[in-house]
Amino acid sequence: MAKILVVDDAMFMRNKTSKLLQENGYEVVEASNGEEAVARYMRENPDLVLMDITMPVLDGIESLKQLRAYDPEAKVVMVTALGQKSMVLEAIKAGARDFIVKPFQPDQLLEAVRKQCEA
Amino acid sequence: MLKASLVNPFLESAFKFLQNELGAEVSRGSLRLEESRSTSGEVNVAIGVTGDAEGIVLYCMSERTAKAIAGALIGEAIPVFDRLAESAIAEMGNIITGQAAIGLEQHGYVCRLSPPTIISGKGVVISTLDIQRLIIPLELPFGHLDICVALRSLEPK
Repeated sequence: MAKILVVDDAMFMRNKTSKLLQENGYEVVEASNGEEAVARYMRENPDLVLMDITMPVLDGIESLKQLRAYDPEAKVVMVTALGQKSMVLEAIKAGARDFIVKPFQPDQLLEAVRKQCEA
Repeated sequence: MLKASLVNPFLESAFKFLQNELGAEVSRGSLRLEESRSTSGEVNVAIGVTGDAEGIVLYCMSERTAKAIAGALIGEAIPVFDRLAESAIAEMGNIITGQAAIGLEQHGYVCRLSPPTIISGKGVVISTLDIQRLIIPLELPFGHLDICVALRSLEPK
């Protein structure tokens, strides 16, 4: 069973995403900001990270950079309301594997997760 | 005076989100300009905008409306406006503003957003200092929602 780290400062989004993943057979761990995500990643060694961008303490782009510095093989998919072209390019440049713009359809998220977990 | 290119993306993204995610029929009242200091709703989501356009966007509503919208997003009735309900309402503001930021970028304004903040209470006065705000009044089956856009722009790239 693949383990997914869900990172979002919005409890509502964490609950929604975690429920969807658990219902589809994934193990889920959560973090509510970018700094917590880095600590959780080191402790849990998840197969994939779903990362919001706009978060307090440490934003998703900085967290992504720290994760990739710690583990160059870290698989991170950005899941964010910020879908501007400039943001997508910045995330991909920092090492994101994929980019999903909120609001997402459940199938869209599951397909992206499946793809990365099988890669 | 606020430019249409700064306001239209919010109208479009709000209609899209409310119709698609809440299945809500949405109607828009007349847009109006307000001074920077005015009384807000009982529940207000504030999101800061920086970059080529800067200021703040507010989503203002009564607690009753906030509970109804949060209930529709979460999928269950919300008797008390708790942390989960706050989070759902904040995320609504985050997503509408995020989608609007895509539209702003297409008009040449590259922007960053702050995480949402919830300001609650009766008779709260919020000042946007020297930036006038344009009010987009929306009627939903859940109640009334005002989107207040207080942005000023640098010249688009």
